[in-house]
Amino acid sequence: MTGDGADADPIRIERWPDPACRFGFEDGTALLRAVNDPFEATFGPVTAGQPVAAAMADLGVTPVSTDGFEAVLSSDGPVRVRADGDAAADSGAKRYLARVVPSDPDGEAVLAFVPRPGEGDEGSVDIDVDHVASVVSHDLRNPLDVATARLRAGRETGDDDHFERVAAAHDRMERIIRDVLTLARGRDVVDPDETVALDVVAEDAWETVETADATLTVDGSLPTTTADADRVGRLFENLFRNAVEHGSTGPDEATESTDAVTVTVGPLGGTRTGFYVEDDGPGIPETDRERVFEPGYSTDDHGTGLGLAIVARIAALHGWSIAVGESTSGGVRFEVTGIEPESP
Amino acid sequence: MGDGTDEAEEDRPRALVVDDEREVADAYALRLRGLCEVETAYGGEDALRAVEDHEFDVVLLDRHMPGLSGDEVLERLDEGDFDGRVIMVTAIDPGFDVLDMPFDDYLCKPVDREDVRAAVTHQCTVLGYEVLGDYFGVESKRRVVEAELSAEERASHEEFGELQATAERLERRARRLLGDAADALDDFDAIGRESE
Repeated sequence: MTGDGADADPIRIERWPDPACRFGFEDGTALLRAVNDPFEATFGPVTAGQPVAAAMADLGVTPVSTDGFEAVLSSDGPVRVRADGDAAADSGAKRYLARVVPSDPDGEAVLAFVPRPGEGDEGSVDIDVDHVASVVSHDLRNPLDVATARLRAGRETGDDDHFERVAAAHDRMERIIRDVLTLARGRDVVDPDETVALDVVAEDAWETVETADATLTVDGSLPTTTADADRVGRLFENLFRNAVEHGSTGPDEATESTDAVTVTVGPLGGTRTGFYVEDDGPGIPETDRERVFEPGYSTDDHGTGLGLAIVARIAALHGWSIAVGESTSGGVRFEVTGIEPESP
Repeated sequence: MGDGTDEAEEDRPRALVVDDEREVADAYALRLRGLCEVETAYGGEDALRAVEDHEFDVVLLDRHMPGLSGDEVLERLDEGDFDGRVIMVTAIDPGFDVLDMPFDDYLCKPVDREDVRAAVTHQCTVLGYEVLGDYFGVESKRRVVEAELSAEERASHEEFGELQATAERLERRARRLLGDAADALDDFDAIGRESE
């Protein structure tokens, strides 16, 4: 252990409530200098002076999405890691966010771990904590604001209309929370146990989206299947909203609404059971198609970038697959496959 | 500023609330009720149109909007001949980007009713004194000319006519912005400008 230059060390790992270690570089290799008690209690005993990457590998602490632990040490942001060693199994927690905090100019730094709540990461999606935080704070603020203003006005005037709007704002907050949970949590958010006629769900969903001059065409009959009607409704809503918001060439043209988008829903032909949702808008460039389902992907700074990620998630939790391509008119075409039809 | 109940509508400051979410814009309009005359615009383009069509004293502007964003509207207002004050009202936590933005105040949602009203009142006061200064500049010219030249000469002078109209407009605006605080107008009247 190095001499504890307390003044030069803004981060005291001894005070960190969760596992943390201090490391420094020698010939470009990160070497372990010190660990705190929670570190050894959680991950197991280590020897100072060992390379960090080797020590972490011995303890069974590995990054989730990158190969070597070196990637964690060179990352600017938090990295998700798993602890699979014996000591970790005893202490219960398995999933952590690891983050490097530069500590002093000599290159010594602290690696701090924060436990991630919620075990059972099967099915949970790689969603950035910062992003969820910004969605929650940004998207919830508007309905909260509306509810506060309307509640006060309702109290002052006794006018029921104000209370109706409070209720509507609450509904919206609930939907936002459910969306975030759909992304961040495991299977328990989606409950596919109802017999659902997909065309009925699609048409209902269209009604709830602000579609302006856009039109929906249902071309043929969609399968009936076992699903979570509420979440599948959400899947359609988000696909429709995406088509309406990105399908037109933008509202700032002087020629208002001459280019209203047409959205078409229909069954897939041939041997594949499933459906498509397509529009006649400008489409998505081929190079971006891979990314549209990633949480946070958004082409403008208005969207939360979660809409299509939620779509992909709902599909996955039903055991369906979703792919994005181009419609015959050059717009976007989403295809959902793997649906097991059921006779109504 | 009075509570407005005994004042005619045009005697109150005029505010424009801009938010792409109607519910949110309406909620802010509701909060400003009784304090000013409020109009709402549900998008950046609408906001610019509204500002062209009417004189507004304060614009409450959301930042994130599809189409023309609040940041762009702010820039256009700054470049154009909009002479009111702009308060950003937004759910975006400010970063260093705000350093270059020409707004007058910045409120983070959710905002308390008292805070938004206080912010608007504050901007009206600042603008009111600005307008008052402009008015004094114009009015002093008008008065000395009026004292020196005959009504006939003045009536046939185009520029003087414009000056007179400007003075009237500025006075009206200063009074509606400052309300009771427009006492300085009376003090101004008491100053002797012509040699005896």
